[in-house]
Amino acid sequence: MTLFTLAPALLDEARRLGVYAIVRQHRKRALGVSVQNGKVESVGASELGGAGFQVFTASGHTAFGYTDGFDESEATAALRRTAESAARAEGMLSVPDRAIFSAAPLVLDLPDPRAERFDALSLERLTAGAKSAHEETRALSSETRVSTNATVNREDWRVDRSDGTTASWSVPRFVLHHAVTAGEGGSVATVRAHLFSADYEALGDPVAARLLSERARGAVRKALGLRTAGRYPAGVYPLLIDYALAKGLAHEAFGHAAEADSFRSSVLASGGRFRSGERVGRESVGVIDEPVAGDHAYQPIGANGFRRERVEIVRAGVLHEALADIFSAGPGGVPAKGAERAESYRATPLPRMSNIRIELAEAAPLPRPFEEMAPEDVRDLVGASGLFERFPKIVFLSGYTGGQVNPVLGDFVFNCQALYELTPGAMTLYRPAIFRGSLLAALGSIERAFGPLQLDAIGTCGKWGQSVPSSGGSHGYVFLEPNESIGVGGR
Amino acid sequence: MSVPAILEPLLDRLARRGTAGKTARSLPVDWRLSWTSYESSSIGVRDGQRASVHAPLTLGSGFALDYLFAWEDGRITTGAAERIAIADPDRFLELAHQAAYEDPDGANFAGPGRFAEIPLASEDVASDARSGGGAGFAALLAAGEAPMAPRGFKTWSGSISAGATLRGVLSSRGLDVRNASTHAGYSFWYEGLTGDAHGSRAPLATAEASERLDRACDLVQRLGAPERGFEGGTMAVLLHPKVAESFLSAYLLANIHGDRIHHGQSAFRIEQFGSADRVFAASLSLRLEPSVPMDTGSYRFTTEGVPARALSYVEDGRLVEPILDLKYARRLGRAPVPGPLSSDSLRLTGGRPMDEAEAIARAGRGVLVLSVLGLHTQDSTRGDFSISAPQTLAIRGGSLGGAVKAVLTGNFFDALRDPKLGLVAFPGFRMPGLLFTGSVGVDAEG
Repeated sequence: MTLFTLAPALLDEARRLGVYAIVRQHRKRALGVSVQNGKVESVGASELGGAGFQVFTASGHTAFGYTDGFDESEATAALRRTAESAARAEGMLSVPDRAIFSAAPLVLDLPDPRAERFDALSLERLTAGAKSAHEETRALSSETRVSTNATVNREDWRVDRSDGTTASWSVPRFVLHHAVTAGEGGSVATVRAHLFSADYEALGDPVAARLLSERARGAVRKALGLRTAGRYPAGVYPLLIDYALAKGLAHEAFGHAAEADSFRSSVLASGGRFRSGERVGRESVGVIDEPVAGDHAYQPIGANGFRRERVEIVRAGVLHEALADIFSAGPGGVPAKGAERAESYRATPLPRMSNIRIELAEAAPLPRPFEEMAPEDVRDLVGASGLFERFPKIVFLSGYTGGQVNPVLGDFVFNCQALYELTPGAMTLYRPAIFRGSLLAALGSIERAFGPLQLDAIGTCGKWGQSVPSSGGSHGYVFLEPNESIGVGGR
Repeated sequence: MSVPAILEPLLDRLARRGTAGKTARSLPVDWRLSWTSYESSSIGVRDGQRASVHAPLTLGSGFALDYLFAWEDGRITTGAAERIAIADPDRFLELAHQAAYEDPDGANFAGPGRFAEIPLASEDVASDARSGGGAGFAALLAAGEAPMAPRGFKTWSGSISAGATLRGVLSSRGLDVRNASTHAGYSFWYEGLTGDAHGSRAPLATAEASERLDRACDLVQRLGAPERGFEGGTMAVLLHPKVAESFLSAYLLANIHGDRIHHGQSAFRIEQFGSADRVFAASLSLRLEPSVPMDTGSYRFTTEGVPARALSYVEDGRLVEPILDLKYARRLGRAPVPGPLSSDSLRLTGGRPMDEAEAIARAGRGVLVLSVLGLHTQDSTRGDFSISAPQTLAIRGGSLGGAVKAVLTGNFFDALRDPKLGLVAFPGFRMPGLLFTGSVGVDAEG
């Protein structure tokens, strides 16, 4: 991208000052449309861009600086101040790190041709498409209120280092969310449906449009049903979770605890080092993180300019690899995987997930595509698998609305959109309830899966004040045996 | 204070309307620019490592702009931009024109107003923001680390920051208001558990930080000792002020925003505001106080140029004013109502006022909740909560005990309606803790 011209001057200045520098240039542009109950409420555009630089003194003391825009003289002055700060950091008893001095340079450019279409985007078409999808969802019921948000964005990144590294990539994203609300007063329920694509024109693609329609239909059905749904009693149950919740489990429970910058306190580490080789699940269970092309969280190159690699956090039920950058790999006793991400040019890169999934060696087939599975179909699927013979009552959690983890304690919690009690020949809807517990207990309880991998559950992941796109999934449905350390909330 | 030089080329173009001939089409007839220019410094601690590669000493500066344009045909454009977007003002305005849409209620442009003069900036903090903190950061780092050895803690994490901000709002109707502010703050936590966060407009006093951290570390030590044999059930629930603040934000504030009310996505209806309808306990009030000099919750104007003012959202259990930006004020036929800058702007009063010791004694058997997981996943319109509270202390026989892993379930609106709701003063916190009766599940071993 021609705007990214600062690196030569900044690296020259770093050389003159006797420091090593990582220069990260970033630009993000976005357009968004919001439609509420039939009316376009806002159409907005945003644009940000600038340069961040992390400098290292010869002894490995570091500081980070950034400036918005691409003015060479301002950026150079900011780099000088940052270098001075790196020198002063030693006086603040900072911890030096010289790992970057042994890095091998990378020269790689990975543009996405779909991102190039951003400049030609028609806001009118985006608005019309969002409105059409909105109206289609509104037409499903006269008893719901619908809010629709559609955004398109393009991110461009370039990372240059003092060792000659020049790495760049671009990411296009289209995201549409419906929020369907039903009920009034104390019986309001809101359920969401989404569509993600790396194609800005996704709404014009019949397959994507049908997928969104199916999800919207499911959201309306759930929202209407939840108006009168009761609470499910808290307790320990055999659980069936859909792939969106399984993504939540993989992300909240394992992903964060496997981020190597946290190993001095993570439950998946001991003495600061990853507990590689320890069994944490059945032999059939794996947890894998990797960049998936065209995905919401796609990042083929780490924010420090290293190729991002596949990470098998759990292989055949055993802890195997971690989400490590070049700085956390050595102390954590794991190989570097280029797993660092930054929210923007203003942020220091941290080891983060990209697309994370729980994958089992085998999965029973679904009778129809996931999006066409009604709760009754899920009950019948469970029945056909023989699970009711062991567990006459199974709790099915559907849809993910977010979660949180304390990787130090190993506690996780997340919430669903709806809870169903499945019994032979019956199915009852209840209000959403939290799914909480200990991450190791949860992984150890995974017993079987149904359906092919579905990896398009999306979200936003927060860590140390930075938010980045996240994604992942699992097989359509994952079954967990009852375990005293994992439970469903409620009353 | 002058307008930042970054804005001058854009303001120059906007002033040309009327003399621009053919290019006038791409010049708005009305406009509002809400701008922010900032400098900041910070330093982090990750698991005992100061200024490590993942939490280094950081210096930054930037400029941000929110804009609203109204065009000749009545359509409007809204957006956010950094310096890169307005570097070429002609291109910026042309793209903005292409992004125009119809929203008659959205075309609101404030003119000159009366804005209270409120000092909000400290030159010492501004200097720290520009320079990377210096001695002030070093002293706070020392205060943060001080509890480690005496208390036998293994790890601590956190950050210290200093920021200096210049904000302003300009409009085609003659509004030109600006304000300088500063913010110094720290956040430290221990053993991966709880800790303390505190902010100020002026430099933070190390002695005050030490006192606050000492109190927080007492709680951390208690969290390190599980409370055996504590069973769940219906009992007294005491939300620490940090948790009470999160609940208030997630449930009460989220439901009094005009857009949610208008679109039927709120727990409340617009007719309830200003009516005799009592929705909470008779003594409960929630007020906005944005005008205390050098207070972290104070501010002079909103991003739309609406003057900040003291007001009541809830008074004696009745809804008084919803938070209304200019658009929803027009749509709902009311005057605009500013929202809080942060919880420091809010004053929650009423209920049964008591101090921490009295609340614990009165609770008899219950829990003190120090943090919760998953509040953001709850459906705020209903008021229901079902959340995990792994950092919770048991209260037994009116005394604070050790740690339990709890699950809280209930309805926050019911708690606010309860005339027995206790508002509990904790030292160092403006927001009170909340004491009510709730349903608590406790995991077998805390």
